[in-house]
Amino acid sequence: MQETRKEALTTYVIENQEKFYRLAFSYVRDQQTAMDVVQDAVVKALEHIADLREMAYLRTWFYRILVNESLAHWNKMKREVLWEPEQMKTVLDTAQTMEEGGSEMYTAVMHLPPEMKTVVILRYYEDMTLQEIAQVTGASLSKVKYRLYTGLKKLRGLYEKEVAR
Amino acid sequence: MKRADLEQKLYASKQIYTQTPIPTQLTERMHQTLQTHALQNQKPNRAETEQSKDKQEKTRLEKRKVIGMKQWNWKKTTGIVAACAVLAFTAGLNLSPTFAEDMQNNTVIGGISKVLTFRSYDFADGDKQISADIPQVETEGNGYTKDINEEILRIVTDYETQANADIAAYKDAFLATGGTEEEFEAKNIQVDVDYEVKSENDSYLSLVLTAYENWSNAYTVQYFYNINLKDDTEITLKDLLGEDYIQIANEQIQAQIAADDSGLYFDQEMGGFTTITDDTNFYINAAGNPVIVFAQYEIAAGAAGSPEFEIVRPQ
Repeated sequence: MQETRKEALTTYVIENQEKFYRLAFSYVRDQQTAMDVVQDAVVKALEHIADLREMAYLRTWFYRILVNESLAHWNKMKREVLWEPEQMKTVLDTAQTMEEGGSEMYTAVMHLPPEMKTVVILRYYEDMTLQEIAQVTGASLSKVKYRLYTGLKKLRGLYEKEVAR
Repeated sequence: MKRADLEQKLYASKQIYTQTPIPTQLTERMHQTLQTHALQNQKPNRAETEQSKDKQEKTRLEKRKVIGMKQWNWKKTTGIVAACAVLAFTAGLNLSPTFAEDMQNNTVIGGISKVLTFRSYDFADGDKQISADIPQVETEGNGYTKDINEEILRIVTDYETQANADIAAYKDAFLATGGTEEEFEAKNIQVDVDYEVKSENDSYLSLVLTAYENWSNAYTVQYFYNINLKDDTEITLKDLLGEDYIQIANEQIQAQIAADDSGLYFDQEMGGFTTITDDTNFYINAAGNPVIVFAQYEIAAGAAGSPEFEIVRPQ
């Protein structure tokens, strides 16, 4: 049974590694560090897969580990590194937006405080339900709603600042 | 900007997010990680014990509640920690039933301590080293102290039993997947049970019991005991700080967090400190002030360890 769980996790990791990397990168903003984050999260997940009570929760369970790892790394480095315009540029240059305002909004999201950023990214970029986000963050549903609400409010301000630049 | 516009722009920005350049090394690193783990770390036997853990955990928590002991708020720590720090109830190790055995006085400055090391031993079997100092508090009555003594013995027994099982399963898995005895031995796994008398005088005693396994942070547990020796009861924060104990403690903790510049504390949004409760852990320091202790990850990043806050009693 344990083996099946490990296999399921392994498959899940292989299939979704790019998603994990993107999420990690949006916090730590550095390729090597983002890969470290994903690797650490995968190792932790493999070590603790036995503690996952139901495989149905694999996704939210793994994201919880991933978000925590991302925040831990982000906390370690946030004193020294701010998001440099150059790092932003590497992302923005390679991306092609069809719609107006996408890149400004992306920049705004990246500048959100981490806890709001987590909720916004999971909701709009990873398409999670609020219930799932509550499972990932370990916060209550009402807290998640509140964070999303304040996050969007803050985002509005950041976006307008970005457009004005 | 309207909410709908905002959301539309958000979905537009998702395209940029999904186009975050992926380093070419990512796949390679993932494969390496998965492979390394597959070689080292299987635990085929552990699955069997997993099933019953939920139930055991519940029973344990209920029992704990009945006797009103303090312990970490499991729910607040991270999911992994919560899920791992499970100490199952099973048959005990061979703890000596006689009080006299290995009993030794533990002198503290200013007199003879009420805390005795009931049993102290080191044990090594090649797979692990167990080192335990098990305290008991002298008492003649049937009050709080007696409950504590029983509780401590049970905690230690359960912890060691579970640690033995965990490590044995870990080893089986390790060997079954190509690891050698020597490699396992080199891991130098240690189990440590120890206690510390935080403060003690004629009227009170403050004791902290700590148990950990060095191969995983997830297995660390601490229990706090504050005893009023005059009437053999538990000392609460209310006893020390008065009716407004919650407010007094919260204000001082908030001030100390605000004065901290490590950047490790979570803010409110991240699930940082909001308020103490009646279940908040604390010990009493030599000055007679309560020192509130939070679990690792509870209100700060892991690097902060277990944050402690001394609360100065109002004059």
